[in-house]
Amino acid sequence: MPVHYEESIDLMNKDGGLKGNLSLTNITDLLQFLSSSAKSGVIRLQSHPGGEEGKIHFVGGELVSVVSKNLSGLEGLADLLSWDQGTFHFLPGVAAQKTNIGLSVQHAIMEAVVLLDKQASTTVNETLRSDERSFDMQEAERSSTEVMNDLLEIPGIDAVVVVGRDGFVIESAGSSARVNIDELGASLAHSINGIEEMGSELNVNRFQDMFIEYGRAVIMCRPVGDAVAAIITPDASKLGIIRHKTRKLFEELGHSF
Amino acid sequence: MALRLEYSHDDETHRNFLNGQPVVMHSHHYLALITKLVEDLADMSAPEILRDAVEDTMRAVFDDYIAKNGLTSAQDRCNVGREYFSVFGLGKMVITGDENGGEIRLLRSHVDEGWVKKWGVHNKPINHFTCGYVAAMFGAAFNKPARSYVVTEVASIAAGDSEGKFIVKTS
Amino acid sequence: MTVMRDTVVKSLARVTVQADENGLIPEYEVLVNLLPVALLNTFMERIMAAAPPERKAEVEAGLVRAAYECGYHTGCGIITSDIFNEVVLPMVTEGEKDILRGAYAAFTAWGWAKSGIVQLKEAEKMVIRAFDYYEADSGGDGLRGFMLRGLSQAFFDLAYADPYPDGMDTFVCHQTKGIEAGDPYGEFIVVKK
Repeated sequence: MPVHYEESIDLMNKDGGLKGNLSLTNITDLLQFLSSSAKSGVIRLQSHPGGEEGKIHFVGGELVSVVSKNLSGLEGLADLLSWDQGTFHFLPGVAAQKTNIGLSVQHAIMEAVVLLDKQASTTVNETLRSDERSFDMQEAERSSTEVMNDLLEIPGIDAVVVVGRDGFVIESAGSSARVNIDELGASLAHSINGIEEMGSELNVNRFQDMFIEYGRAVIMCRPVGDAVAAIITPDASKLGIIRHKTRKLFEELGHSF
Repeated sequence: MALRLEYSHDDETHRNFLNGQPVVMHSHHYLALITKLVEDLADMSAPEILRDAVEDTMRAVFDDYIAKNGLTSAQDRCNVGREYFSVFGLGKMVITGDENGGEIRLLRSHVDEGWVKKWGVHNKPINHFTCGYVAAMFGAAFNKPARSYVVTEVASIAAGDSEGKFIVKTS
Repeated sequence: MTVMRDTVVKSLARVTVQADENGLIPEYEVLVNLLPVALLNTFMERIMAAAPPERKAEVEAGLVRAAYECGYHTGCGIITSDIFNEVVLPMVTEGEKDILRGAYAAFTAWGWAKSGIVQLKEAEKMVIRAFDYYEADSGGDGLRGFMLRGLSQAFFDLAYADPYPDGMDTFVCHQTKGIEAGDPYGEFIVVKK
């Protein structure tokens, strides 16, 4: 159940800032909220239980500087995005000493998520190489339907569809007035085929992500196991957040296909 | 009389229809195995179950065609069954008889030839399917209720005869 | 490139079989029949109803077997047919996996089952989902996808087991969900026997 943003933070009249707990909201929502209201200042973060510290400076809708432990810039932001326990404190009007990002909030989140994906993929490969017994330790898998329903809970996602490489629409959830889900299956399979052929020609490995922005819809897709999952959202305004929030669910979906 | 055939395809489910009736393709292996199954389950009256299932469902197909095309003569109504037999890929038959019964010669037979292809010549007739089919055909031709006719296979391609022969009597 | 399902379905869906002058339909190296779905479902339900509880499994196995042998022998004819060569084979780049993708597109096109592959571990396991299949209309109690079970087992044997006849019955197919049982789709899982 989504938490209303206003319920997850305390208004701090003394310094004019906001305070809250990362277990009730998350950094992407916080950034989205503050940037949409054209605020400028710094968010100070402290992780629990480690007590590590981070800082995010931004001006209006632009991220200026991010520091997390000894990491800075996009690497620092990627690290902060992975925090799910801790506290934050926003202080308005505090300027950064120096710039180490200089991207819009949306753009910065997307770039940081790409970085997180790369790190996760490396970690998974290393784990698999070092300990094949990890398969025995897997938690009980949820059904694809449950995972897809969770995907639909993410604000901005109208529909989710899983398509076989041959274009067979394996499962879908939600609906979109903009896109015919059945026709999407075949179109997606043809597109992915072309993209994979291009990847093979260019020798740049298998495709990992695809975003297609149309006038009336945005389609984002990723491989899930041997299939491809696509989400449909009305526009690109929430894409960074969607990308961040769908990451783990797509990974989980991959176990079913 | 030539049967009017209208094939259609549902683009959503991909099911196929012949004159509005859902139909599906199978090979002779399927009917041969179904026939073998009912032979093996004879103690459960499986051959009779097959005959009756064929009679009831084919009768519905014939009655539907007869009604839609306004056929009134017994010969025209009987021809519906005879021609459908070939359209379904079941073979070729010649019919003689009237309301009180008759005789069917089976010149070619999907069920029998399929059986022989699969297992060779058998020691007795096995075409329970066509017995039910013929009962439906006579019932539709003479507007009689189900089980009005008893059909007995007296010669069988599966048993080595050159033609199949079925005797139709009123029950 | 892999097998594109919509291309196969569009190419095969409107192929109609026609009987020859003898009322027979020789196709795919077998004799084909074109029967009313109601006939097959009525027979299935009546024979299942007639079987005492201790013999239901025997009847069920017989119905699956009929489809299995039909699928196994006809399958050979299908995947070596001119139409399969013309439509499917040019798109095959992943060997048996693509042949199976093509096969399920063909099953869909021919009205056996609107079905496709959900998961495939080569020579190990295959999960099939069917959103429409004629046995779902049978009106019986319990799972009734006997035909699709036999067919799926046959095609997995053809793809990954030893050549005929040794490879027959290497795999087995279980039905785990069914539209006829109130599920949104039928699910069929092929595994080693």
